[in-house]
Amino acid sequence: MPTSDIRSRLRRGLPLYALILPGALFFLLFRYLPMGGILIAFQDFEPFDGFMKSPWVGLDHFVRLFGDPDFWVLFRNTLVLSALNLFIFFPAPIILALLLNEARIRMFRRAVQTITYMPHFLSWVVVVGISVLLFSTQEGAINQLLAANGWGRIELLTDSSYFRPLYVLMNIWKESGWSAIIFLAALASIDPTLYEAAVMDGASRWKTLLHVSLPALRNVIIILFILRLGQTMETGFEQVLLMQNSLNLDVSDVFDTYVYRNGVLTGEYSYTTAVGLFKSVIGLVLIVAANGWAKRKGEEGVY
Amino acid sequence: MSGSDRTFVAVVYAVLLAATLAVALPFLYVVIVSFATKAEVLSRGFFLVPKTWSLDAYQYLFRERNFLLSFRNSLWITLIGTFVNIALTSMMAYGLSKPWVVGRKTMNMLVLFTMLFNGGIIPTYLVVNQFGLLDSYWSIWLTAAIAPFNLIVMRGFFQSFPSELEEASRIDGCGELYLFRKIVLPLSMPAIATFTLFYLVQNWNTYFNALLYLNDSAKWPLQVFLRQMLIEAADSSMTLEIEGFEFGPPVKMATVVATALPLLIIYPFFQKHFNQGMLLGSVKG
Amino acid sequence: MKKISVLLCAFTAFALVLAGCGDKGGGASPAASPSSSGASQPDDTSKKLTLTMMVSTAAGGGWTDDHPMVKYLNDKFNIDLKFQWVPGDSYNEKLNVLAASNNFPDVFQIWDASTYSKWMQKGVFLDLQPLLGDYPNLIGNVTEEALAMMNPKGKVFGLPMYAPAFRSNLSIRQDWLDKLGLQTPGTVDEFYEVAKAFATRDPDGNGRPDTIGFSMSVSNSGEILGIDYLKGAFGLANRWKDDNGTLVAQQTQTEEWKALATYLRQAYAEGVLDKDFPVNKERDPWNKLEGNTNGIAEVNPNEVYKQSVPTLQKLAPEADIVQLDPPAGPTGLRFANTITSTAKIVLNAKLEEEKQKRVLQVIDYMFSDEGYVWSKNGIEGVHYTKNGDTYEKLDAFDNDRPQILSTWFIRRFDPSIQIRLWDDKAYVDRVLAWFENTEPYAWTNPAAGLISETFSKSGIQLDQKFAAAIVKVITGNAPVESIDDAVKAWRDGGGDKIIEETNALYAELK
Repeated sequence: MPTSDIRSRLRRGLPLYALILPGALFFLLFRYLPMGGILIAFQDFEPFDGFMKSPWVGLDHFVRLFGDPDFWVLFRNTLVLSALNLFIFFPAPIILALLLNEARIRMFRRAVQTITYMPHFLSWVVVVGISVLLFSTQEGAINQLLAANGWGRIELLTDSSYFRPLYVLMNIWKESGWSAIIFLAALASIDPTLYEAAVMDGASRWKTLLHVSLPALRNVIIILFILRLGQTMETGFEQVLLMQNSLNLDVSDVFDTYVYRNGVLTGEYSYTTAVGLFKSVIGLVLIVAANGWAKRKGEEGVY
Repeated sequence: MSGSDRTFVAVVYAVLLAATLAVALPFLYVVIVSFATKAEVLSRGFFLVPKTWSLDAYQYLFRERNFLLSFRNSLWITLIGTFVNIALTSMMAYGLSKPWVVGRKTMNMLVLFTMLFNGGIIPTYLVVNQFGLLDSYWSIWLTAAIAPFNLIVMRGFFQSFPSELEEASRIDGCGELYLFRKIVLPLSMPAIATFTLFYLVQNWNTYFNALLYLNDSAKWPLQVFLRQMLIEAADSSMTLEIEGFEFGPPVKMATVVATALPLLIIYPFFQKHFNQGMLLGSVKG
Repeated sequence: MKKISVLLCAFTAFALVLAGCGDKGGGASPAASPSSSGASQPDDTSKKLTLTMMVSTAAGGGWTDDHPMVKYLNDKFNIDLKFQWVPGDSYNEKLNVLAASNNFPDVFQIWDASTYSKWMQKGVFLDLQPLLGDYPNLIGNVTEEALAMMNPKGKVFGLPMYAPAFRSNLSIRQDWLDKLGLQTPGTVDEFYEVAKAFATRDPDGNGRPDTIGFSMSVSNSGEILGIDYLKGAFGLANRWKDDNGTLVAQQTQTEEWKALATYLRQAYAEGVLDKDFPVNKERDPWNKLEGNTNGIAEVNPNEVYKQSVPTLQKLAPEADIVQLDPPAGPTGLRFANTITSTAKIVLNAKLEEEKQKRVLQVIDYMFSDEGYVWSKNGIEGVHYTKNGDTYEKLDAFDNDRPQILSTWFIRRFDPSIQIRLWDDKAYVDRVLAWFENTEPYAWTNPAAGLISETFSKSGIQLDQKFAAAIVKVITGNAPVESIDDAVKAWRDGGGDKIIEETNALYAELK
């Protein structure tokens, strides 16, 4: 039981501080020491001039960002994609893990696990390349099938209305298997007597899933959800850039692709950092809010 | 088995089967392309059975001197790196999982902060340079030592560890470190296995850090060597022309398969740890 | 509170680290600039020097340290050559971290024109002007314009990296023309008819409507690629046009764009133009030519016979790809895709005098007759053999890839950059003919290498919007009149400033 005496807690914690120390050193040296680099968001940074000799411009970059006529479109697009990730992608690995947990035939379960985890290792270049082969209007396999049967072709890749669904579906396809691993590990830690008790109570498989398996995932789900909220302004740069084309810009342009054209390709480190800083601040606000709410509900938060 | 249970099981297997097929088919395409000829790949759209099988792409890969060299480098980076990762992460995660540790909340906040805010490539490079780590594998091992996400989730796992076991050991007079090493760790294998796998994959896929910090290309890991293959050089006269050999999609897919294969092979070894709970007292069905 | 003080400590520490870096960079003794009189001592290679070279790489990667070509150079020039190979798509990032830590190699490449301009002014590169006199092979094999490009008068901060001007050359399926009984097209209208026949009359004879007339792509930086021959024919400029001393930007040529967009719009609607063009990558039109579905595409003459034709003939044994002259537009204009390379090879300004000379010796060797042959073909006896007058390639050539320095690093201004000793004369003549034939159609950009500041900041963004507007017209998603709005948007968004600034730079050239 935790003692309220600070000194005895410190003494008791000594071995634990020893465990924490190496990791803490890492964070200090390789995360916090370079963190001052964020300040280049307030400069006109030139790599060759360095931090010392680059001129300071204060909030100019933020003024530029907020003043850009496309700012709200970018913001909206980014938020929509994030919402899709949060509410549609996020449950997919959970469902997959729960289903796998119910598949008792060992070979089948292992095979499915291995196969669904494979696409994670393909780069987005390859995945989008395959999507072009399947979905392009003229030569894509799906459209050729449609045309051969006398139906009209669907412009899956160029029509703006398909961009968002395709985005989240491709993400689910690629990442569900990999993301399910954490949930599988959590399910593996469930005390087997709980299952035995459920059987004895005559609960159906479905009820067992709802009342034994799912609740065991609660902590992990909450932590992951909160962390995801922190990534709200992140939309998966590579995927979006590759899926983006002249005809779907109105929904596919997000902060990451905007800054790619306006900061990365043009070598403007400061502007890139400023936009990144803006994204991070939004993420921080969301995490703090979500964490506070979770704690009030009696859950373990992320800090 | 009751009727509703039968339906339930049927649905479970049906959905899983559908998911597997949806995933497997496009992935199969990638593998098939690596065994096809450039001509066929360019002329046909999506196909699963090549008219002409060819090992050209793999022969090209294995002929490159740099291939085996970088493969060996990757093994080394992954081995040491993963060990460093999992050791540091699990120790720190455990330490932070005890609610009575003073300063815990602040440390957690500081860790979380680094997930959102990052100094950037240049400042990190300067720090690595200042510590004299350039051109050494330590630059890779140390700059990626702990992934905050992994740390936070693992801490969550440790927090859910049944406290009765801990209390029992403490009453027996075990010290904190003994508790960690002998009791908690062995029983947290699912979590340890999960994050070891995560770090393993992270290390195996090292690309950008290697590029940045390793000047000597003899030290490069596999990913750097292979990614070069995928460069659609804007300056097409930079694409090498080799007599009679056609560089194209088959070679690119062969590189994808070559990188992914080792990871697919080792996955089953980790799987048993995720399935652990099910081995005890499960009902057949 | 605790968090803030930790961060403050971090910032202070960081600043100290950087201050330390400044010193580290200055530690190397700065080389005095070589005496400007031409009477500098030629280097006698008696002292062994270590040279670091950074080279951008593509597929296959660089050489290992024990490579025969590396050994050859080391022995010949008494050096210890240390290469830093960097994959092309990450080259600029690597360059920037080296800049930040002030840790440049001895000799390296600069691919981005605006980086070159910026850093040149900061004194990162060595002025080679006073030294060049000693290296006649170099001078004799680069053009005056290329040497002077982007450099201030009287100074040469970087050697030009050559790219054949007509590296993307228009080609057509001769066998399809023959099969459908068509003549080689000379005007854009004839071109359209031929392309339409390719798309609709089943030239590959498989009974399926799976062929197209021509194709194109749109890049991430807002350029419509692959149809330069059409752009030029309709009077559009290759970025800039000199109109009585003033530069006109192609984004303001409303009428020309409208004419071209109308032409392409019809082509798209009738299936003559590849309907998948909005998702095409740059090489896709060429890939589709090789895949027997596209009838007309730009190809690299140095690769067409060795790569494209063999690939194609696996699918269509009677396939024949021949050069096509750019078609004439409504006013008779004919222009071909013309590349002006702005990439440079530079030397570190801090390099010691003896190293400067040694590096230039090596480069000069690569430009000399003997060295040029060596850089393209490798070492005699190892990579090829000579039997009297004929040459034969050895397997080691494919394994060692000795030609990468000439393909990726630096070479003469010579279109036969990929011609090998063992290529037969008929082949060589055919390839060189492509380049010669295109000469009259050069589509020059008078402002190549002039980087306006506004363009550096927002040029790409503006171009992307402009290209998107044009694409929408072509696909029928927007009316042709919307081009007026696109031009206005480009001008208002910063285009006018770009015009002003570029003209100012242009005036300085005179």
